Amino acid sequence: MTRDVPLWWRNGARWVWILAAALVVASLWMVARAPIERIMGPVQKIVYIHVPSAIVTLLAFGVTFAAGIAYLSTKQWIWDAIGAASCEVGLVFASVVMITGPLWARSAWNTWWTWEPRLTTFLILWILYAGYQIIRSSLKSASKRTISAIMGIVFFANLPIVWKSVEWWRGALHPKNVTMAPDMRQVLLFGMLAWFVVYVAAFERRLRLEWAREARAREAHATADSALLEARVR
Amino acid sequence: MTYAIIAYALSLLLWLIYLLALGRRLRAAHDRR
Repeated sequence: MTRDVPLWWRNGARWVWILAAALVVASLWMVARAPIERIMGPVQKIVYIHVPSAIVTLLAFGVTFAAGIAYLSTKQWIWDAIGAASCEVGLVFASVVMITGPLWARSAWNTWWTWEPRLTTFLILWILYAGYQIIRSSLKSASKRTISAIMGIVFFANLPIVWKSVEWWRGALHPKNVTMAPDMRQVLLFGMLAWFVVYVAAFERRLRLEWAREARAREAHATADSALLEARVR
Repeated sequence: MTYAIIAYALSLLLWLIYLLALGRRLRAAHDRR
Protein backbone atom coordinates (compact mmCIF):
# COMPACT_ATOMS: atom_id res chain seq x y z
CA MET A 1 0.00 0.00 0.00
CA THR A 2 1.57 3.30 -1.08
CA ARG A 3 1.06 6.54 0.79
CA ASP A 4 -0.77 8.13 -2.09
CA VAL A 5 -3.92 6.85 -3.73
CA PRO A 6 -3.83 5.24 -7.22
CA LEU A 7 -3.27 7.47 -10.26
CA TRP A 8 -6.81 7.11 -11.67
CA TRP A 9 -8.13 8.38 -8.35
CA ARG A 10 -5.81 11.41 -8.32
CA ASN A 11 -6.68 12.32 -11.89
CA GLY A 12 -10.40 11.92 -11.29
CA ALA A 13 -10.17 14.03 -8.14
CA ARG A 14 -8.63 16.90 -10.08
CA TRP A 15 -11.66 17.04 -12.36
CA VAL A 16 -14.05 16.90 -9.43
CA TRP A 17 -12.25 19.89 -7.89
CA ILE A 18 -12.43 21.87 -11.13
CA LEU A 19 -16.14 21.04 -11.41
CA ALA A 20 -16.78 21.99 -7.77
CA ALA A 21 -15.02 25.35 -8.12
CA ALA A 22 -16.87 26.13 -11.35
CA LEU A 23 -20.23 25.20 -9.87
CA VAL A 24 -19.69 27.28 -6.73
CA VAL A 25 -18.70 30.33 -8.79
CA ALA A 26 -21.73 29.81 -11.04
CA SER A 27 -23.95 29.35 -7.98
CA LEU A 28 -22.69 32.60 -6.41
CA TRP A 29 -23.27 34.37 -9.71
CA MET A 30 -26.83 33.04 -9.80
CA VAL A 31 -27.39 34.11 -6.20
CA ALA A 32 -26.21 37.64 -7.02
CA ARG A 33 -28.60 37.78 -9.95
CA ALA A 34 -31.55 36.07 -8.24
CA PRO A 35 -34.71 38.15 -7.81
CA ILE A 36 -34.98 40.07 -4.56
CA GLU A 37 -37.69 38.81 -2.26
CA ARG A 38 -40.48 41.33 -1.67
CA ILE A 39 -40.74 41.25 2.14
CA MET A 40 -37.27 40.27 3.38
CA GLY A 41 -35.20 41.93 0.71
CA PRO A 42 -31.67 40.77 -0.24
CA VAL A 43 -31.18 39.00 3.12
CA GLN A 44 -33.42 36.20 1.84
CA LYS A 45 -30.50 35.19 -0.42
CA ILE A 46 -28.89 33.53 2.62
CA VAL A 47 -31.30 30.67 1.95
CA TYR A 48 -29.30 29.66 -1.16
CA ILE A 49 -26.33 28.60 0.96
CA HIS A 50 -28.12 27.76 4.23
CA VAL A 51 -30.53 25.14 2.88
CA PRO A 52 -28.09 23.33 0.53
CA SER A 53 -25.52 23.15 3.36
CA ALA A 54 -28.15 21.71 5.71
CA ILE A 55 -29.19 19.05 3.17
CA VAL A 56 -25.56 18.08 2.48
CA THR A 57 -24.93 17.91 6.26
CA LEU A 58 -27.67 15.31 6.59
CA LEU A 59 -26.30 13.40 3.61
CA ALA A 60 -22.74 13.43 4.99
CA PHE A 61 -23.82 12.12 8.38
CA GLY A 62 -25.96 9.54 6.56
CA VAL A 63 -22.79 8.30 4.85
CA THR A 64 -21.06 8.11 8.26
CA PHE A 65 -24.00 6.06 9.56
CA ALA A 66 -23.90 3.63 6.62
CA ALA A 67 -20.10 3.36 6.80
CA GLY A 68 -20.38 2.64 10.54
CA ILE A 69 -22.68 -0.32 9.86
CA ALA A 70 -20.40 -1.52 7.05
CA TYR A 71 -17.34 -1.29 9.32
CA LEU A 72 -18.94 -3.21 12.15
CA SER A 73 -20.01 -6.00 9.80
CA THR A 74 -16.81 -6.27 7.72
CA LYS A 75 -14.10 -4.75 9.99
CA GLN A 76 -12.36 -3.33 6.91
CA TRP A 77 -10.38 -0.15 7.57
CA ILE A 78 -11.72 1.62 4.46
CA TRP A 79 -15.24 1.84 5.95
CA ASP A 80 -13.87 3.50 9.05
CA ALA A 81 -11.93 5.92 6.81
CA ILE A 82 -15.05 6.72 4.78
CA GLY A 83 -17.11 7.31 7.92
CA ALA A 84 -14.54 9.59 9.52
CA ALA A 85 -13.93 11.56 6.31
CA SER A 86 -17.62 12.13 5.68
CA CYS A 87 -18.24 13.10 9.30
CA GLU A 88 -15.56 15.78 9.27
CA VAL A 89 -16.72 17.32 6.00
CA GLY A 90 -20.31 17.13 7.27
CA LEU A 91 -19.29 19.09 10.34
CA VAL A 92 -17.94 21.89 8.12
CA PHE A 93 -21.31 22.03 6.35
CA ALA A 94 -23.12 21.97 9.69
CA SER A 95 -20.93 24.89 10.83
CA VAL A 96 -21.91 26.84 7.70
CA VAL A 97 -25.55 26.22 8.64
CA MET A 98 -24.82 27.44 12.18
CA ILE A 99 -23.12 30.60 10.87
CA THR A 100 -25.71 31.54 8.26
CA GLY A 101 -28.72 30.62 10.43
CA PRO A 102 -28.40 33.35 13.09
CA LEU A 103 -27.75 35.97 10.38
CA TRP A 104 -31.03 34.98 8.78
CA ALA A 105 -32.78 34.86 12.17
CA ARG A 106 -31.64 38.38 13.04
CA SER A 107 -33.35 39.74 9.95
CA ALA A 108 -36.37 37.47 9.76
CA TRP A 109 -37.23 36.91 13.42
CA ASN A 110 -35.43 39.85 15.01
CA THR A 111 -33.25 37.63 17.18
CA TRP A 112 -29.86 35.95 16.73
CA TRP A 113 -30.99 32.80 18.45
CA THR A 114 -34.22 31.31 19.71
CA TRP A 115 -34.90 27.89 21.21
CA GLU A 116 -37.08 26.91 18.30
CA PRO A 117 -37.41 23.12 17.59
CA ARG A 118 -35.20 22.97 14.52
CA LEU A 119 -32.56 25.34 15.89
CA THR A 120 -32.37 23.36 19.11
CA THR A 121 -32.23 19.93 17.46
CA PHE A 122 -29.65 21.13 14.91
CA LEU A 123 -27.49 22.57 17.67
CA ILE A 124 -27.64 19.18 19.40
CA LEU A 125 -26.63 17.58 16.09
CA TRP A 126 -23.66 19.91 15.76
CA ILE A 127 -22.53 19.22 19.33
CA LEU A 128 -22.86 15.44 18.86
CA TYR A 129 -20.74 15.36 15.71
CA ALA A 130 -18.21 17.83 17.12
CA GLY A 131 -18.01 15.37 20.03
CA TYR A 132 -17.39 12.58 17.53
CA GLN A 133 -14.32 14.44 16.25
CA ILE A 134 -12.98 15.10 19.75
CA ILE A 135 -13.51 11.55 20.96
CA ARG A 136 -12.10 9.98 17.79
CA SER A 137 -8.97 12.12 17.84
CA SER A 138 -8.38 11.31 21.50
CA LEU A 139 -8.49 7.53 20.97
CA LYS A 140 -5.31 5.67 20.21
CA SER A 141 -6.34 2.13 21.01
CA ALA A 142 -7.43 -0.61 18.65
CA SER A 143 -11.04 0.08 19.61
CA LYS A 144 -10.87 3.55 17.99
CA ARG A 145 -12.57 2.34 14.82
CA THR A 146 -15.27 0.39 16.58
CA ILE A 147 -16.08 3.31 18.90
CA SER A 148 -16.18 5.72 15.93
CA ALA A 149 -18.54 3.41 14.04
CA ILE A 150 -20.84 3.12 17.06
CA MET A 151 -20.87 6.92 17.48
CA GLY A 152 -21.69 7.35 13.80
CA ILE A 153 -24.63 4.97 14.14
CA VAL A 154 -25.97 6.20 17.48
CA PHE A 155 -25.70 9.94 16.71
CA PHE A 156 -27.58 9.39 13.46
CA ALA A 157 -30.74 8.88 15.55
CA ASN A 158 -30.90 12.67 15.88
CA LEU A 159 -31.20 13.25 12.14
CA PRO A 160 -34.85 12.22 11.69
CA ILE A 161 -35.61 14.36 14.77
CA VAL A 162 -34.05 17.42 13.09
CA TRP A 163 -35.98 16.64 9.92
CA LYS A 164 -39.34 16.15 11.65
CA SER A 165 -38.88 18.74 14.41
CA VAL A 166 -40.97 21.36 12.61
CA GLU A 167 -43.90 18.93 12.48
CA TRP A 168 -43.55 17.38 15.93
CA TRP A 169 -43.29 20.49 18.06
CA ARG A 170 -45.22 23.71 18.20
CA GLY A 171 -43.54 27.08 17.94
CA ALA A 172 -41.56 26.16 14.83
CA LEU A 173 -40.33 29.17 12.92
CA HIS A 174 -38.88 27.07 10.13
CA PRO A 175 -41.52 26.41 7.49
CA LYS A 176 -42.76 22.84 6.89
CA ASN A 177 -42.68 23.37 3.17
CA VAL A 178 -41.93 26.34 1.00
CA THR A 179 -43.39 27.37 -2.30
CA MET A 180 -40.79 29.36 -4.18
CA ALA A 181 -41.03 31.25 -7.42
CA PRO A 182 -39.53 29.08 -10.22
CA ASP A 183 -36.57 31.42 -10.80
CA MET A 184 -35.74 31.32 -7.08
CA ARG A 185 -36.18 27.55 -6.85
CA GLN A 186 -33.80 27.14 -9.76
CA VAL A 187 -31.09 29.05 -7.86
CA LEU A 188 -31.71 26.91 -4.77
CA LEU A 189 -31.53 23.63 -6.69
CA PHE A 190 -28.37 24.72 -8.47
CA GLY A 191 -26.87 25.64 -5.08
CA MET A 192 -27.67 22.13 -3.84
CA LEU A 193 -25.86 20.62 -6.81
CA ALA A 194 -22.84 22.91 -6.39
CA TRP A 195 -22.43 22.24 -2.66
CA PHE A 196 -22.98 18.52 -3.17
CA VAL A 197 -20.03 18.45 -5.58
CA VAL A 198 -18.00 20.43 -3.02
CA TYR A 199 -18.88 17.70 -0.53
CA VAL A 200 -17.65 14.99 -2.91
CA ALA A 201 -14.40 16.89 -3.57
CA ALA A 202 -13.69 17.64 0.10
CA PHE A 203 -14.65 14.10 1.11
CA GLU A 204 -12.19 12.69 -1.43
CA ARG A 205 -9.42 14.91 -0.07
CA ARG A 206 -10.17 13.95 3.53
CA LEU A 207 -10.32 10.27 2.59
CA ARG A 208 -6.84 10.60 1.06
CA LEU A 209 -5.58 11.73 4.46
CA GLU A 210 -6.97 8.57 6.06
CA TRP A 211 -5.34 6.57 3.26
CA ALA A 212 -1.92 8.16 3.91
CA ARG A 213 -2.23 7.57 7.65
CA GLU A 214 -3.19 3.93 7.13
CA ALA A 215 -0.23 3.42 4.77
CA ARG A 216 2.11 5.01 7.31
CA ALA A 217 0.77 2.83 10.11
CA ARG A 218 1.36 -0.27 7.98
CA GLU A 219 4.90 0.87 7.14
CA ALA A 220 5.64 1.32 10.84
CA HIS A 221 4.17 -2.09 11.55
CA ALA A 222 6.27 -3.73 8.85
CA THR A 223 9.43 -2.03 10.13
CA ALA A 224 8.71 -3.20 13.67
CA ASP A 225 8.09 -6.76 12.41
CA SER A 226 11.33 -6.92 10.46
CA ALA A 227 13.27 -5.51 13.43
CA LEU A 228 11.79 -8.21 15.63
CA LEU A 229 12.68 -10.88 13.10
CA GLU A 230 16.25 -9.57 12.86
CA ALA A 231 16.58 -9.64 16.64
CA ARG A 232 15.41 -13.25 16.71
CA VAL A 233 17.87 -14.32 13.99
CA ARG A 234 20.72 -12.83 15.99
CA MET B 1 -27.94 43.17 2.28
CA THR B 2 -25.06 43.42 4.77
CA TYR B 3 -26.14 40.26 6.58
CA ALA B 4 -26.29 38.29 3.34
CA ILE B 5 -22.77 39.40 2.40
CA ILE B 6 -21.47 38.57 5.90
CA ALA B 7 -23.14 35.14 5.72
CA TYR B 8 -21.55 34.29 2.39
CA ALA B 9 -18.17 35.78 3.31
CA LEU B 10 -17.96 33.84 6.61
CA SER B 11 -19.07 30.59 4.98
CA LEU B 12 -16.51 30.87 2.19
CA LEU B 13 -13.83 31.85 4.71
CA LEU B 14 -14.61 28.77 6.79
CA TRP B 15 -14.26 26.59 3.72
CA LEU B 16 -11.00 28.25 2.76
CA ILE B 17 -9.51 27.74 6.22
CA TYR B 18 -10.69 24.11 6.34
CA LEU B 19 -9.32 23.23 2.91
CA LEU B 20 -5.97 24.92 3.57
CA ALA B 21 -5.66 23.08 6.88
CA LEU B 22 -6.60 19.81 5.18
CA GLY B 23 -3.91 20.38 2.55
CA ARG B 24 -1.31 20.91 5.27
CA ARG B 25 -2.39 17.77 7.14
CA LEU B 26 -2.20 15.80 3.91
CA ARG B 27 1.30 17.06 3.15
CA ALA B 28 2.42 16.28 6.69
CA ALA B 29 1.09 12.71 6.39
CA HIS B 30 3.08 12.21 3.18
CA ASP B 31 6.32 13.80 4.37
CA ARG B 32 6.67 12.18 7.76
CA ARG B 33 8.79 9.07 7.81
